[in-house]
Amino acid sequence: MGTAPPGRPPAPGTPRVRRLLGAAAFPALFVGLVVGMTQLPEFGDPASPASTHLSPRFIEDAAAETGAANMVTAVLADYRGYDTLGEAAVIFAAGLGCLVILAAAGARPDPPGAGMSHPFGSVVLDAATRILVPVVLLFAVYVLIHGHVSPGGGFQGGVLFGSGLIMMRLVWGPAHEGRAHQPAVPAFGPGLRGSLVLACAGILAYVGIGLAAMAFGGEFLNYGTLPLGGDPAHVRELATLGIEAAVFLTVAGTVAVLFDTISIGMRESGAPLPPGDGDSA
Amino acid sequence: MAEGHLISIGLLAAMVVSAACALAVKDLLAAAALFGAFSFLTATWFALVGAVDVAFTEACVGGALTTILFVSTAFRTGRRFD
Repeated sequence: MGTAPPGRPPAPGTPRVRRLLGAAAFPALFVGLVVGMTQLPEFGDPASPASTHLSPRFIEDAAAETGAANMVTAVLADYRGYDTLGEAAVIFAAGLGCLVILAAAGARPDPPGAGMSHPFGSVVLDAATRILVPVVLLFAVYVLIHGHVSPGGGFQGGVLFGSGLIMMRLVWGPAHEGRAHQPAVPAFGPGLRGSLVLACAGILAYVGIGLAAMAFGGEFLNYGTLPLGGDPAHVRELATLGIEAAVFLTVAGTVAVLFDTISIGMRESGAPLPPGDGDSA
Repeated sequence: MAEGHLISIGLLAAMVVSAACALAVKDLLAAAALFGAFSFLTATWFALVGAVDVAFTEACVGGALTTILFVSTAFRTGRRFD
């Protein structure tokens, strides 16, 4: 707190100026935010512009237009599907960035016992995980599919599914072929490479659904024109589920990639090492 | 609505305290745990004001996922921050 980050000595004189600037900026920002907050409409005010102009349109038409009783899902995956595509792409890019940056660190052999690269390996944990993981994974899929009518959707489901994958990795070690430490545990779940493929497939499916809508005469991500049969609301419902499934794959894959690259390292995930491996680190 | 306001104020105060503690502690494992507590308080407050979807996301991502990632990063980089 207040000190420069290690390894980067500050130029003489700057910390004092920086501290003074911070001391001046913090109260100004604080007062500005508090004053700005008092001008906001009361929470849930029925007379506020958002409640009179924007919300009624979605509240009245969302269920009939998209077939999704949960308006949040209707807005996220249909009305503003373009934003959600951007969010999924940002998450995917974060996973890729982590992979690229930490690939170099993963090439360095860990000292024995460092990191979380070795499974905890206790009987209690093993038994609990065997019971918990299937429930978590199944619940994640339920959250995805039921997102139309209850809170949830692709993003939450994807994170839950990724958490289940991480739970297995924590207790049983990284998922890869020919695991040496605990052969009794059945290998399940994608490794680093499989998770990356999942994430890519999710993004490609999202863009693909959008392009398919274009190919059948609509706008990008305007699903009404897709030839899935039935009335437009039903078509939109199916396409929204497809979008949610794409987000699910992206998030679940990226979560596993993030955990693998941060905690296990490329070497033990069975992925190829970058060139120049060896004593260069 | 009065009790709702009281619960809200209590949650917000606890959020501020846990956030300040997460910044202040030197042990990164403790900071990660405090940050997880902050996330759960945030999720509870979101649910209280009716944003159930956001609360669900915050509980999944903030409470579980980022805590795991922080802890595994702390394990790999060293536990203390001075």
